[in-house]
Amino acid sequence: MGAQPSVNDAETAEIAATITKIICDSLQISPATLAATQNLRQLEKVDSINLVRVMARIEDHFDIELEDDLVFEVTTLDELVVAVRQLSRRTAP
Amino acid sequence: MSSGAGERGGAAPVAPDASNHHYDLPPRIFELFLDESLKYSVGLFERPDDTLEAAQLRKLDFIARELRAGPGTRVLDVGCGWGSLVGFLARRGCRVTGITPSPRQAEHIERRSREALEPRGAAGGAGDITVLRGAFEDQVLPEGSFDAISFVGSIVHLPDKAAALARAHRLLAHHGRLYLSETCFRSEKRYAQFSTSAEFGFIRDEIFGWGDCVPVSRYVAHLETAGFSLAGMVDLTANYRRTIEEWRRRAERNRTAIDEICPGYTDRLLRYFDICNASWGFTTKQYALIAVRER
Repeated sequence: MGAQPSVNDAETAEIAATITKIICDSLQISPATLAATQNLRQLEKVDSINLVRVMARIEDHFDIELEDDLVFEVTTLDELVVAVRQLSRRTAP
Repeated sequence: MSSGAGERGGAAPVAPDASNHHYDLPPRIFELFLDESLKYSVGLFERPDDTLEAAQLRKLDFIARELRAGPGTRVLDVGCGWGSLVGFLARRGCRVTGITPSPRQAEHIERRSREALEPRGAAGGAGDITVLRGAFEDQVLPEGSFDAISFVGSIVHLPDKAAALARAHRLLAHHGRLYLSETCFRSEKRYAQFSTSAEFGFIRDEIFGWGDCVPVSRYVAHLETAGFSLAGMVDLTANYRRTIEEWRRRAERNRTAIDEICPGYTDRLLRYFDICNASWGFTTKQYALIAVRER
């Protein structure tokens, strides 16, 4: 079962797909193993710096700055999608 | 006080022997990824096309200026590595003492210093170089006998940072200057969270032997307690990211040669570089602090 964002609209789905790709590319895992509500910190191959690296790539890609609390405490893909969605709305032209 | 590998914790390992095993590897390994002066610390980049060599030379000049080091200045470089700063300052006419616990580094500097100081040519160098082997704590040095002291990425390896800076204050003459640059966790919170992580454990234990990247606020407090006046602080984090990108590129290019000297070492270096460069700005910072003994 692949990642399913809980908020369902086209933009959110696109953000979720992009973040899923960044996570899977960075951690070299299959999207099929990544569920929206899964604890990212418990994924195989995840260590704390890997996750920081993922956050840096997400920030670069979306040109946003995530809150420290999210960078260091995030647990699920869903949380990330919601945060990125909010931030990219705020910074949209 | 955090629960991380604490600088005042009763179980802190004794640094000198432990931190030797990386620095005491054959210098040839370091020639295969550092710049030609073997400066194993952050460079100072100004232009997009700066080479690592140019950035390291600019950085040496920056340190010299912060230390107000010129002909005759008595400088102590604590943890002098392969002597890039020692050689640079001696060529400017300083009387430089370097301290290293690594016999290989000491031999390297002594060999190079003969080449660097003779002939005493265009750079006008009339300085001299003394290399002291062993731990800073164990050296017998007269109080007030230096005009400038540097800790360039070395105090991280000293278990008692407060005592080291208190001693530096006593060793400086009136108006003597101190330059300290170091990798620091970004805050007490990040220090507590990451200093015990597997990734930093790898760098600390498997690359260096021992080190403790305390937040910069602790150095500021130690300097104040020692009696220093703070004269400046510079954020060098972005420069270190670029410096490590350069080291990484060179290590990859020279993989075969590095692995011939120490099998499998390139991959360990690359892992160490990747952890550092993923961490800068998020969990770690690189700061330089400049302090003066005014009283």
